[in-house]
Order: sequence, then structure tokens, then C-alpha cells
Amino acid sequence: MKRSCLILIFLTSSFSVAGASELDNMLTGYRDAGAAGFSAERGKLLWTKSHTIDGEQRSCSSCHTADPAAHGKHVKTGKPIEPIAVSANPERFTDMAKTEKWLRRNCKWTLGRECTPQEKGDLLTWLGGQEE
Amino acid sequence: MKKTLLILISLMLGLTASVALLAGHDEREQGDYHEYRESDHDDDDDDDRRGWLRRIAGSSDKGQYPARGQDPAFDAYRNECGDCHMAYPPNMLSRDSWRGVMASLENHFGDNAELDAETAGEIGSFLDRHAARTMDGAGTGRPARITETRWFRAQHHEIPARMVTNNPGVKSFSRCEACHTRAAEGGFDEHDVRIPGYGYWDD
Amino acid sequence: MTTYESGKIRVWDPVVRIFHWTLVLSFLVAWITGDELMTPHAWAGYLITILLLTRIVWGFIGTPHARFRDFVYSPSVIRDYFRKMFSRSEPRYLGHNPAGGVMVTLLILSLLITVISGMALYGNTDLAGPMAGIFQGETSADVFEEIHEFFTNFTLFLVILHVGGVIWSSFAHRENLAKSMLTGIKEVKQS
Repeated sequence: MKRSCLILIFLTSSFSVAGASELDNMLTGYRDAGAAGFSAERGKLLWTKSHTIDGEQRSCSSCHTADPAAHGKHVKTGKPIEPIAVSANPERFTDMAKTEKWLRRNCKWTLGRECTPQEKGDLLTWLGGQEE
Repeated sequence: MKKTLLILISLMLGLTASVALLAGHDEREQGDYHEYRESDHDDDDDDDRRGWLRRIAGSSDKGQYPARGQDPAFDAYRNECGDCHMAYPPNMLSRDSWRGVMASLENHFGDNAELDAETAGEIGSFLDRHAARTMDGAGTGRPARITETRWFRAQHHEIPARMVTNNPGVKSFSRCEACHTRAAEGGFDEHDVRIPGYGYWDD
Repeated sequence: MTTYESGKIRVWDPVVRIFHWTLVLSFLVAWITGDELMTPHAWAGYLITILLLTRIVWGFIGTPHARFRDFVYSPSVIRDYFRKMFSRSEPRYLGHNPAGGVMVTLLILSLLITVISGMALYGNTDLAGPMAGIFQGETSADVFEEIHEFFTNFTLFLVILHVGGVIWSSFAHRENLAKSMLTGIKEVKQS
């Protein structure tokens, strides 16, 4: 009984590890680039912080709303955006190229510059519901 | 015989003149006119040889997408350029206007739409292939907005602002799909138009 | 004019006949493709333009019954013919009768206005075709569109009258005028 329990636990934990691998790979990449100690709290702060770019007030919540589990809307075109939090949308952050593309675009739009690996790590930690 | 011909020709001219006068009678908003500079030459050699025939024939089925399966880059275009707004039919803008758009993706009408070099190249070639042959913007790249081309303005200038810009269900002429129910299939026939809050467009 | 076996005579030459039926087909194509399929629509229009120009030239230098001189009559003759039509006593003509002559002329004129306004419209809003870019501005676009639409419908109206007139005349004179426009041949009738 104990042995089959152990086997079961081992199998399920290996599944969860496999399922989060892309996100984990990204976080590993950021750590390799010098980031450390990702914090969901910092990620959340980054999310709602407002920046003035080209005379406009911009933040991640402009399109994604303050609640990442909610549906968002493109601030100009009105196009609906699926929830960004993994808890509400498990497909998020499973494609590294796609994630990096949007991070590049949207950090530049929102902050006026690319996000640092630290910032990206914090954000993804918060959005991915990761334990650090 | 001469008298008959004169009478008949006068009749036709009279009809034409009356129709013309009646037609000019609508009230409409005066837009600004962009200066139209006619471009005589495409910079594509292949085009020059057959370009004259195309320019005469026009081939102006604007709004139609390339046929399904015809161009493999179409999927990339649809995915990347249809993510935030509808993927506009490439033949609604001149080649030079599209080049201008692709060269300024970092500031794409106020948004950042950057692409990696490979995808950008693929989409750029796709747009080159399917851009409108006859459209203002040839040679200058301006206007860069579909909604500012003379073709677009001629199609939409009778529509009052309250139905589009001041209509919360539409908000902008750039949101084709808000009124053109078959926009996704490249169908822009006015009979398929349903304006939110107003219904059919009665011309 | 070629005279065949007893009493048959060739009235319509090949130019007239080919012009007529090609025009029918082209107008049909143009009508159907309307605002929807611009490429076939434009090409049908160009074909009609060429047909019209050819017919007009031929109206001056062609075979006797093809010439305008043969079927464009004075207003008094035309009035008289219509009067006689209503008392069913109109004379029979080998070529176009006076009413037919009016119809041919009106059709040619109406079609001319249709194709010219069509090309002007095409050049204005679509920046395509031989008149591309000549006219600018949105008012002219509206005007050309109205003219084009009106004369498209007017031409159709004329076509319906024309077909009606052909049927009327065929019954009145016991001949198949449509067939004659195909074969070119009519019967010489002794009065």
C-alpha cells in the first residue's frame, strides 16, 4: 500500500513538473541572465503600476484589467483578450516564443522599454501562480 | 434624320444632366483631400511588362482575401496581423503603404506590434504580393491608413458620424467587423451591413 | 443585297448581327456582375464600348440597312408610324422601321452614357481603368455613380421595350424578326 502510494505520488508530481516546463524554462532563462528571487508580490505591483508614455497613462491593466483572471479588451480596437492568468487560462505561457514576443511589445508600449529579466520573472511568477 | 438624332441626343443629355444635378444634391461632410500624386511606374520589373494591362483592367475586387490555400504566408498574416484587430484584406492598401506599415511596427498607430525579422519578412512579402495595384499611396506610402484612402472614403462618406465614430457599438471605421457581418470572409457587400443600433444600411 | 431562293433577301450583314448578339451577352454579364465582381464587369464594359464604337462607324460606312441613314427618320415620319401602329396599319420595312430606328439610337446613346460614366466612376473611386485619377473628389464619385446606375436601368427599360416591339412587329407582319437578326435573312413580301 505504501509503495503504490509512493509510485502514485511520484507519477503525479512528474506530470505537474512536465506541465509547467515551458514556464519553468523561461524562469530558468531569466535566472541565467542574472535575475534571482522572483516574487509574485513584485509582479503584482508591476502589473498595476501606471506609466506616462507619449502623454498617455499606460499600465498592463489598461488592456488586461487589474484582475489577470478576468477577460480583457484591447484599449483601442476593443478586441476581447482571454484571461492572462494561468489559473483562468491554462494555455498561457506554454509557448516561449509567443510569450517573449508579447513581453517585448507590451513592455515597450507600457514602460517605454523592455522589461528586465527580473521583472519578467516576477510577472510570470505572479501570473503563473508559481511557488518560488 | 438629323432632326431626330438631335432630339434624341438632347433627350439623353438632358437626362444625364438632371441625374447629375440630383446626384450632387446630398449633404455631406467635407473631408480634407490628400493631394493625389499619380504614380506612373511600379518599381517591379515584372509589373511594368504586364502592368499596363492590369492598370486598364483594374482588378479592383477590393476586400477579397487571397484564395484559401493559395499563399502559405496567409496564415502567418492572419495570426500576427489579426491578433488585435481584424486582419485587413491586403488589397485595401497600396504596396508602398504596406511597406510603410511594416517599417514602423514599433509604433503601429500608437501600439507596439514588433515582429521577429523572419516573420516580418514573410508577412512583408505576402503584402507585396497581394497589395492593391491601383490605390492612392502608390509611390508615396501615404496614406498609411485604409480608412484614409480615397477608395475607402468614397465608399463610406455618406455615413454620418453618429452611426460610426459616435456609436458606442462601432467607435471607429477601422472596426470593419462591427458593421460588415461578412468581413472575415472578405465580404463587404452593402447588403450584408448591419450597423449596431441602426440595422440595415438603406442607400 | 444578296437574293436567295424565291423571295429571301439578306438584310443584316455579319457585323450588325455579331454586334447585336455580342452586345446582348455583354450587357447580361455586366448586369449580373454589377457591383460585385469588378473584373468581369469592367471587361464586359470595355467590350461594350468597343462594340458601340464599331457599330457607330459601321453606321456610316456599312451595308445599306446598317447605315443610320437607312433607319433614322424625321420626327414626322416617326409620329406617323406610331399613329399607324395604334391602328394596326403600319407598313412593313425591310430594315429597321421608324420606331426601331428610334430604339437603336436610344439604345446606343444610353449605352454610351452608361459605359462612359462607368469608366469615370471606376477611375474615380477605384483608381482603375483608362480614366483612373482624372476625376478627384467625392462629389464627382456620387454623380458618376448616379448617372451610371440610372442609365443601366434605363437601358434595361429600353431593352424590355425593344423586345416587346420586336414581338409586336413579328406578329403584325408575320415574320420572325429575332431569327432574322440571327440569320440576316428576311422574306421579300409582295405588297
